[in-house]
Amino acid sequence: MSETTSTPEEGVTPQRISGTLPIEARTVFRLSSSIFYIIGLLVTGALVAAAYWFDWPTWLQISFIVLLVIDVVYSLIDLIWFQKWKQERFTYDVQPLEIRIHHGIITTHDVLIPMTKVQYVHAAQGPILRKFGLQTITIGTAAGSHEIYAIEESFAKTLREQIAIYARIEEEDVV
Amino acid sequence: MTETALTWHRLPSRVLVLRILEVIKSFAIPIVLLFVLNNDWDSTFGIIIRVGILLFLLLDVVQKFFGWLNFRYALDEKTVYVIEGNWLKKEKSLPLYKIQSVHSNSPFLYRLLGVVELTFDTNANSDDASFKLAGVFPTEAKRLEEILEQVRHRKQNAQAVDDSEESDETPAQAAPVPTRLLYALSTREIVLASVTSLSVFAIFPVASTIISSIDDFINLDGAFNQVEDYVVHASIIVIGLLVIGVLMLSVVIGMIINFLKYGNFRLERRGERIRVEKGLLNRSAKEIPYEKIQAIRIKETFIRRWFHIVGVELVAAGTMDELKDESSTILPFVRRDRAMRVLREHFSQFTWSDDLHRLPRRALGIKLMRISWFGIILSGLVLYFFRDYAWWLLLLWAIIIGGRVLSFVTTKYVRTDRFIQLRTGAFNVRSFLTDKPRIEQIQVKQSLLQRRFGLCTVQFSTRGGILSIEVIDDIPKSEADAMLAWFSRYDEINENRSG
Repeated sequence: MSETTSTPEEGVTPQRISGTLPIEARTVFRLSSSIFYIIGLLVTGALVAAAYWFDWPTWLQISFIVLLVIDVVYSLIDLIWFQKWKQERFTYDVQPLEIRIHHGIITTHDVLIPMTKVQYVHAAQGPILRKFGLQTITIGTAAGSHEIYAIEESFAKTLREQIAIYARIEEEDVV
Repeated sequence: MTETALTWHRLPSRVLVLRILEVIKSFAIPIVLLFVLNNDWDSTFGIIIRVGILLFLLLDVVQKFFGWLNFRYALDEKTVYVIEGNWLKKEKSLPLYKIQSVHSNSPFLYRLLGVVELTFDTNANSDDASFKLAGVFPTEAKRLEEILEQVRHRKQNAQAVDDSEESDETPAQAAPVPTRLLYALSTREIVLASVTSLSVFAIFPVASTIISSIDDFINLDGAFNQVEDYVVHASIIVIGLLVIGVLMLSVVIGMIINFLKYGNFRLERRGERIRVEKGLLNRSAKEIPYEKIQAIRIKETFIRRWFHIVGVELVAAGTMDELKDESSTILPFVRRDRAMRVLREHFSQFTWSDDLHRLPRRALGIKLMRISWFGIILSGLVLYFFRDYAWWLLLLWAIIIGGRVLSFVTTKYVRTDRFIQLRTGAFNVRSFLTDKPRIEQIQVKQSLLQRRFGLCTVQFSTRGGILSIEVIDDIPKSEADAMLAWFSRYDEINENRSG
């Protein structure tokens, strides 16, 4: 019994929604990750300051400075390139029978979810996303969930509805 | 639905005794500490803590009493109703047709009082979706199971039209489904499993640690040094006897544990459900409906592999309960050929292939090239702090490298038009088999290093929760893409792929 490629039902034109993330997503990623980097810099900075202030052993001072330098360099690289690539390299492809998500910078991920396995679609919006009028969509299956980050609000709504229709997520219970 | 007078049942009154025993059991350690070992009522603090403990105990017992008093259940032919809660009355009703399986569990105290604990499981994943009767008489348990059996039959008959494949073999009858014994574990198998358990060898480091720490604490005036002296000066024969003695002891301990855990192990098939019963003191019975089976996993440990002993597990969709205990183990340690026979006969919806593909040679290269952070950090620590033991690092690296070579040798996979079968692991090998309709998603990952070698990691998930995720490392990119294409509902997937 192999899976038959069933054609979508009457009326619904087979429609394919695919794309990448909008350019604003980059800013959103940068803003939200910079919060962590600022905290990280504050902590390592405090460690370096404490090491000098209290005259901790030299090897400790040196290792804290090294840590601070690594932190600064990594934060910059991440903010300038990684977040950009994260936005550029994220692609999604929603078809009537399946969803594919491709993402990742250093390690690439290629996810394939059949529509029949989709159990729910959520949309979420944090304060930063709201400022830019973006939403994140979460697609959940019994085996976990996947996110399509930071897409434009009204588009997110249509995409979410489209997935719900394709996946035939309905409110009523099976009797 | 129908408001006919329901007969409400309480759990039998001896369950109350059981609850009180359980409370006492849970307070056992503080009670022994405070009233037996160190029973002094002199200091204020001592009095407060003892009175406090007694108060808590009393409170718990009272709470258990009302818990028992307020728990009632009833059922008509369609629904089961439960009322419970001391402060907050909670009424639950659950349609019987939703109940997928019944697990019975009888821990030692339950058996002492002649009751069993029944858990009714539904398909849903939430906590509310299952309920427990913690302590009913076996006759009542049987009655409930029979009612459920009837409901299931009605449902099956109604669904008979939909059922395409499976019902051909076993036509639904009104008569009760016969139980077929698929496998009963023999004493010999348990003994053999205990002998081949790796934990046999764990006793040496454990024993030497215990002895040396005792020696540190209580200065036995080198009593153990004397023993050591004796051992060092003793002849090979004596040492040999000693080693054998210690090994025997650990085998016996392992055997006792295995007997308690797997004693009287029975694997049965009841119609479209699999039933696993096991345990000597704590006896449990678990049912898994066939349609909930998502995948089958065969496990072979390093030593048991030489004896062709395997363990078979079912990955089943269900409640979180199934994640924490390993009762989805349908065969704990059975000879490979016998296990395969059971699988072929009774789990024929999953077909095992014999010829699997090996990894390409470059996969060995990538496995050896990966940095072993564990090895490096451990080596660093040893070289810095315990330089005398540095040569043990050779063994460490031999194990690390050996493990990688083994992982290259053992990793195999095959994809037929319906099934995916993976064999992974290094020292312990596990085989995984599932079919396309049951796979929830496939994820292909490729790290920087893997991209260099044109290799991929593929992750398969079914709906059995975290335990159901199976990963295969370092298979060729082309194979990974072929798996995606195989899994895809569209044929032209390869053209649309963006690199």
